[in-house]
Amino acid sequence: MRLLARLAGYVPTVVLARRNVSRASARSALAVVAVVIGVVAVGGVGLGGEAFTQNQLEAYDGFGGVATVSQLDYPDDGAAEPNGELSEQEVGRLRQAAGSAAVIPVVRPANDTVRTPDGEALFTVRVVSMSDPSRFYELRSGSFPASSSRAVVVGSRVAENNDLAVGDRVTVSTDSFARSFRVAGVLKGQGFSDPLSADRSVFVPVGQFDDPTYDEALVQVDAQDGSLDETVERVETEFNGRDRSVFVDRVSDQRDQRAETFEQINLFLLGLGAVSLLVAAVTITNTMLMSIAEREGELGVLRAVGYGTWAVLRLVVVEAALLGVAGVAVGVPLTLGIGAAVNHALLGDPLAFTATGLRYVALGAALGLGIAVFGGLYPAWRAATREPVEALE
Amino acid sequence: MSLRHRLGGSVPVLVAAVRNVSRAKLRSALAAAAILIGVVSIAVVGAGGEAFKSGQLQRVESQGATNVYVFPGPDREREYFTREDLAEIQETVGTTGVVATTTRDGQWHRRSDRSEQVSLNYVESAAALRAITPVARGELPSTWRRQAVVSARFASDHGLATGDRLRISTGDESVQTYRVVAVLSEPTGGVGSAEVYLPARALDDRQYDRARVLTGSADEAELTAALLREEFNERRDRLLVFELTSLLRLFTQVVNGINTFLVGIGAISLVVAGVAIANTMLMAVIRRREEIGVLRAVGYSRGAVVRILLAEAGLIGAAGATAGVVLALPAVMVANAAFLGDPLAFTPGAVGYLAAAFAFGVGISLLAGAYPAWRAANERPVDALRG
Repeated sequence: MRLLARLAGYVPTVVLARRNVSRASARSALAVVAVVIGVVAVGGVGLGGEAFTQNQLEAYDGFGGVATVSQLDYPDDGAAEPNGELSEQEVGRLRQAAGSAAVIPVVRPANDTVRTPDGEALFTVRVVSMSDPSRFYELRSGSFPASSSRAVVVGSRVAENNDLAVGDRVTVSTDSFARSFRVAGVLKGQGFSDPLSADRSVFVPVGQFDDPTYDEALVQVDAQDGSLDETVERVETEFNGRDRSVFVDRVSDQRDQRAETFEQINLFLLGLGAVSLLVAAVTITNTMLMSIAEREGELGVLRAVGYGTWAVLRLVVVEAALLGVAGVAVGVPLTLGIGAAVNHALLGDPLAFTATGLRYVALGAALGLGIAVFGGLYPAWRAATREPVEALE
Repeated sequence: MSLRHRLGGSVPVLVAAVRNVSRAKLRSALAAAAILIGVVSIAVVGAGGEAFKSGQLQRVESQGATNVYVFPGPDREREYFTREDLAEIQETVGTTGVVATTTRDGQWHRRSDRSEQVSLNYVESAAALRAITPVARGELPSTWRRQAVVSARFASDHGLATGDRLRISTGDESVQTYRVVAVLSEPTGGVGSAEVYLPARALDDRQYDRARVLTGSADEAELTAALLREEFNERRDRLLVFELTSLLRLFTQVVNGINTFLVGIGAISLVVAGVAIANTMLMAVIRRREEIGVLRAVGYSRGAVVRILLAEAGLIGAAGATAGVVLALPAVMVANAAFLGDPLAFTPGAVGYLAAAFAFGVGISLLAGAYPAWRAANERPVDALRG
């Protein structure tokens, strides 16, 4: 305590300001509450939005080092039929160009229909087939079937909306077959950012197709074997030399675009939340105006005994700043608590704070402090420029 | 002046409140400003969102919400409708019109050495085409044979006008020449739109890949869709039936949810404004402690004191909320102009949000004034007068 008092002695203005602020405790407390709400609104919206973004972007986790290759709808050369399919030969060329990278062709059969055991057709569900979906997805329950077996893996939304569980049977019909399959596994939820829309898909083993036509291919590079950029370069050289014939898209680019969209939405929400800080600034101004009106005589005395205009100005601004500091001191832990709750709910880990999220919290704190000082400026100027003689009357 | 006094005389509480509020002008003005900001943020976000929603709904409705779209279902043996199928559908829906169309991809031979892909839509008759899309320029012949109608976008993209000739082929068939006789008006787009419309008799097979049932309203469309599902899809899905009404409902639900969320975030600022009001009123009752003591001593009841102070808080709130709504109006009008094409096209939902913002502003002021008022009213007059 002695140490604190000695330290405080170095900043007499702060000590004086602190005393003044606590003289009207109800009024100051209410002003602090206003700042707290504003700080929590900005920080909370920022953290919540970040947690939501991370939650959505988790869908890309399994797609590290992956690019999608699909045929252009309208190839430049015009000779090739623009059927949107990759032929067996093109897949071969792709494998050659990709080198050590894995090439996973994806089948999306035409006229696909999935039916529940009651015979209800699920129109929003797509049939997908690729070798080894476990490369990209994790299961919530069950297991991945062997390539030749009569079993499928269903996406999380497909399972939830239609009460499907492991062991149930679904009928899948496509151009080339109509068969009944056992549900072998249910995927974890991927969110709407998933590159393959797995949530709304039924994964059929590749072995079920006698003569598959490929709609796109995924190229996956193992980080140890080489870089995706080099592989993409080779694929581009092979297919898009003179005429462009395929479209190569890095999944990481898709992820970045999605993340950018989310960030813009988040900034908009943040701006809306920041309006409350504006109101808090008005509250601070009001509080400080009341305070200086009450202490008119006292401030007059200070001026009369030699306090300069600047000293009074500084005193009142520091008082306002203290209200802001108190608001931030309460608001930031509160924000972090809310953020932890949201993280726990969306990401399963209360401490999954990201640098961006924490930056939003810091922004809220800085704004809280800033508006407090800003809100105190006018009252301070008014108090400081009052003629001592008038004030003392 | 006398009228004002007489009016005021009938609500003495209000007169006292006005006087008291104006005793501390700056303080009251700042508190009202806090409410104003909150009201503006709720009103602009809420009413702007409503304008956006209505604009989108109007667009979708103009693109055929009164239609029911019917496609061959997965349980049909054929992937197209024949004339018999269409007759069966017509029988089920009764008097309402059924228009069957077929979309194909065709090649447009602009020059002998160059062709490009166009989307074609074959329609049964000129009357049927008029029923599904409005025609902007040109006249359709009553017997439609070798004439084509093009969409407005297609015409403007390629500089086509009525009288021009289009050489078009589909699949392996030979090239046919059609004369452009009409251009459709925007907006086209929506379900089943195409670039070039041709008569169905140009098809050799007369197989239709879709039909639409034209009804008078979105509600009627929903009923018709239900009727078709019941009739054709009892056990097997012979038809795929779509109507936009259920989609519209889903869209409305989603937009309403988002809007409520945004308004909720905007409402945080009104909560802060409530804190400002509480602060102002707390100041007021502390300053006027003795005065309130006197009122109590001369016989004012607790309730009367609470009423006076609540009237003050409500007055500040009402002033701020009124100014807020007035300030929000131009912003909402900008949103109306942008989404609905008319600045004065206030939708009931938008008016609702403006009213809600006002009510919320006044309500939160009363709520915030309650504690200071209660505190002032419960002080013993003797203590208050003693100072």
